[in-house]
Amino acid sequence: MERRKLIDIVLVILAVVFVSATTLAAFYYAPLEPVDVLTVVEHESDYTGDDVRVKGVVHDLSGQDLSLWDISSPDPGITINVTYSGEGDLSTLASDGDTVYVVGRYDPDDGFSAKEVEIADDPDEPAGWTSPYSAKIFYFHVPAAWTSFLAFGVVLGCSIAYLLKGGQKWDIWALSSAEVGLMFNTVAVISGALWAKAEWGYYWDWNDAKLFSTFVLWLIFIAYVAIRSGAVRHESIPRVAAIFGVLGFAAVPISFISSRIWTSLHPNVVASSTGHLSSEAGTVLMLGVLAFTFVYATLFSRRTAIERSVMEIQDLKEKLEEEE
Amino acid sequence: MIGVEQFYWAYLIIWAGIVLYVLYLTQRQSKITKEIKLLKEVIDGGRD
Amino acid sequence: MTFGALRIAQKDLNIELRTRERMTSMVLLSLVIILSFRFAFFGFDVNLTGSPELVAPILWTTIFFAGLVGLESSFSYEKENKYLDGLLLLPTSRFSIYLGKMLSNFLFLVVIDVMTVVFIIAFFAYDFGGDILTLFLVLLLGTFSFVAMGTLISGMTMSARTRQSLLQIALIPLIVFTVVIPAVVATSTVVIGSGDLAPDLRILGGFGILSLLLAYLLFGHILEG
Repeated sequence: MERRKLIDIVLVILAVVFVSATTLAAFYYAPLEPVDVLTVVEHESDYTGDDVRVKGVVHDLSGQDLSLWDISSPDPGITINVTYSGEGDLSTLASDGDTVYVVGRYDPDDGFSAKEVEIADDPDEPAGWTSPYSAKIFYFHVPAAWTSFLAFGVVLGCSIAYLLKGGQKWDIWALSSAEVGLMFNTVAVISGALWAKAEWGYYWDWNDAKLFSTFVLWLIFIAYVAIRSGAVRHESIPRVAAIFGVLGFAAVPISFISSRIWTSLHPNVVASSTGHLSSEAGTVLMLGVLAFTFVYATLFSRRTAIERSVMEIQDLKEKLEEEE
Repeated sequence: MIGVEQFYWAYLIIWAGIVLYVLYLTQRQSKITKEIKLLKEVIDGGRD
Repeated sequence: MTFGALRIAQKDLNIELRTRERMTSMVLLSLVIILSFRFAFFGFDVNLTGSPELVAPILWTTIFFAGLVGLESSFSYEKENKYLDGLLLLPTSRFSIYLGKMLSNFLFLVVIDVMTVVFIIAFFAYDFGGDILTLFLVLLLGTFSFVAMGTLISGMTMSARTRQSLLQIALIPLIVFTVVIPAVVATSTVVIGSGDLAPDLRILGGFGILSLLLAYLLFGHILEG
């Protein structure tokens, strides 16, 4: 009993500390554009020496310097400063936020020296953020979504354990994790919709695979919680819920990979070839993920405590009936 | 800065959701604790 | 195994032939939904011949709702008459119980498929023409896939008190991507007459088989409770 209390206190402290740290970092430390979608469209096998054609987004245009941010290939994550030696004033050729093709030479020591700059004219390719500041929600939206995936993973694990071994503990854990995960999924979806309004101009698009599949995931765990709350401790309900938890988890990987394999505007930052985090952004994101994981652990612990109290009430009621 | 408003709204809604959930848990827990206390009193009273 | 399944399906059919309870409610529901569409479109004077893209949504909305009503009652006879233990005592595997139930649900819903197509022809004066055979292929596959998962979920939810709403809440998110969208898209492809049928039929068939596999693994667990 005492140990549980201690763990709870430690979890609350960790959650508060990390949440504060993430908030401060996201507001004051994190770069405005946490991800970018630069892709090299053409390049020679050897990146030095020959002319290469690089596609990128103009990030910080000052004077004659064109900085390209996070060129993803062949060396992901590097920041390249581009010096322009071609004709004309660069600031008349491009402005911040433009997607450009740059032809020039790359030298690991001196950076990229550009000879030609050409404004890319394909609206299908994303070119930076239209709304850079709102992109900061990334530091909270992604951890919330990630935590909901973690929570549903716990549901899967506990459901399998319940089906194989039985035991009320697994059932309580699965139920608690599903409820907390549903809450995280809800805030992730809502914050995503608000960001979409700023970035894409609309809150929701039913044709977007990522949005649709996450909505279905949300529905599935609403159904899971509904299955649990409907019946008053019918014997078969935990078993049914465990099976549904196993079935429903299938939507988690679908939701995760949907924007990587189907049509979707949703940015892919982690585990994809198009997005790369700068190291500052990565640090803040990691901090956020840790913070939300601690919040999850705290809520999960509170939720299981409630379920244990419900068990206690049932025991007491049975005792009362026996005495009468 | 474009999108400042949306960022604050989204930030607010994330934490509002979590805080509301915490309040809901606290309220449920206190209700249940009261019920347990009551039941224990009834059981103890029956013994006297 | 198959023999036991056939016997269970046969038993359901015999009960249905005697009472006609489920078929009556399903056919009536299908009629009511089609008529609702007919009247809802009244002011617009929509004719389906002019806008064939509406055929698939109307057809599948009707089939899914009628199918849900059919699935809700698929275990109710055993449940209400406390025959479930009798069913469990049969010398067949749990999976055969599922197969039998699935088979009878499938047959009932195929009748609904036919009736719904007839209602659309009758009330919207729509001419399917030569597409009708391909259409029935899509309908059969969609129905199979819907019933395969539906019977599993209806077995899961049969003992809950709020069985009807639970079945819908639990089943619909599982079939949105896997049955509803592919079935509607495939039917639209057939009706409009352009596009590739194969990918959607593959999803429908694949999900049906996956559901059978899941039922094989899980249906025993469901009935134990």
